[in-house]
Amino acid sequence: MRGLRIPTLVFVCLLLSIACDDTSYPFMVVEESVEVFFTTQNPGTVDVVVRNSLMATVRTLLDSQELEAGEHSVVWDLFDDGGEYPGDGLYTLEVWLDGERVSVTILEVNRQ
Amino acid sequence: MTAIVSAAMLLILQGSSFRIGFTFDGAFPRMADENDYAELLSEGGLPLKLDDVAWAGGLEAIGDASERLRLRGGFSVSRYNGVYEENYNPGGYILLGILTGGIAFLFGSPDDEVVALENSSVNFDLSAYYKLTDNPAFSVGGGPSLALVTRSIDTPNTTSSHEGSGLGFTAGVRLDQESGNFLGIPLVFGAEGGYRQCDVKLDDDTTDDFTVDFSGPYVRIGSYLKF
Repeated sequence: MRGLRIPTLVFVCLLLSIACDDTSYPFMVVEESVEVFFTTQNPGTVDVVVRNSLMATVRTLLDSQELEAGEHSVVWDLFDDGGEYPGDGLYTLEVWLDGERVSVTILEVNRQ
Repeated sequence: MTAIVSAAMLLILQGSSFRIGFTFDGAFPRMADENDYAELLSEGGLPLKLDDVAWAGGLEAIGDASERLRLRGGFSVSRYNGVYEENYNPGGYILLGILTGGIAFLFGSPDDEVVALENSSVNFDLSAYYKLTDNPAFSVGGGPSLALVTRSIDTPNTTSSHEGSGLGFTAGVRLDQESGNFLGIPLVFGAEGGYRQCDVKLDDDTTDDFTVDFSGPYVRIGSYLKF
């Protein structure tokens, strides 16, 4: 530690702080139209719905669509099925394959 | 309902003997929809941790309408929460610890609420009991209740809140101390255990019948001034 000055120590700590600053939440912060990718292991009938924090369906993005196995994507423009903006909050985008939920993506919508 | 509870409390207070005091509840609510929602978020990688117990505090008045009939009126506020926390800045915590000579480390790592779920229910209760014994008074009974429920979710950038109201009931057994004195104050204690039915659908077109369900067994203790 000889020769190591306090300002140097503080500088190193600041660098460490910035390097370790992990503010990645387990959801996507969305302010505008969002594309979500998903993978289906088998071919089948796929439904993709967006539900609000009260588990009510606000938007159906895919309705009983036959898809091959592989990677797919859907785009949500942040509007509900009636063309209205359903408001800021926490939403879940759910992919259902043959009646079974296979993936959930959590979105924090903050458009306003 | 509020007017009925107020009238009942007036009736109780005008009786020959009444007590008024604060209560503390612990309850085990069903919260089926809330558990489903937490499970959904967990599938999406956000493990929302829900409370096991709903806690409540309240104020109530108890009086005897006759030798065997005991009336109780009161209100209470119950809370049932959920939270997702994470230590999102360990570097800052290390820096704070070093700069404070290690003192900050003594207090543990700071948790930060990322998603906070809060359910609260304001309950107005009116109950009637049949007294089986006199001192201590063991009684059984129940009655209707009105619940005003609020559910809110806070995220780092958003807040959403919904409300609802509904009728329910409580049924339970009470054990009341009939005489007591603490430093010259007529202080008595009481306890009640039973079941509360209180499921409220939130008032919103988009809720899809989401129900905040405080129904479940409860235990309540109270300390009262007896007059």
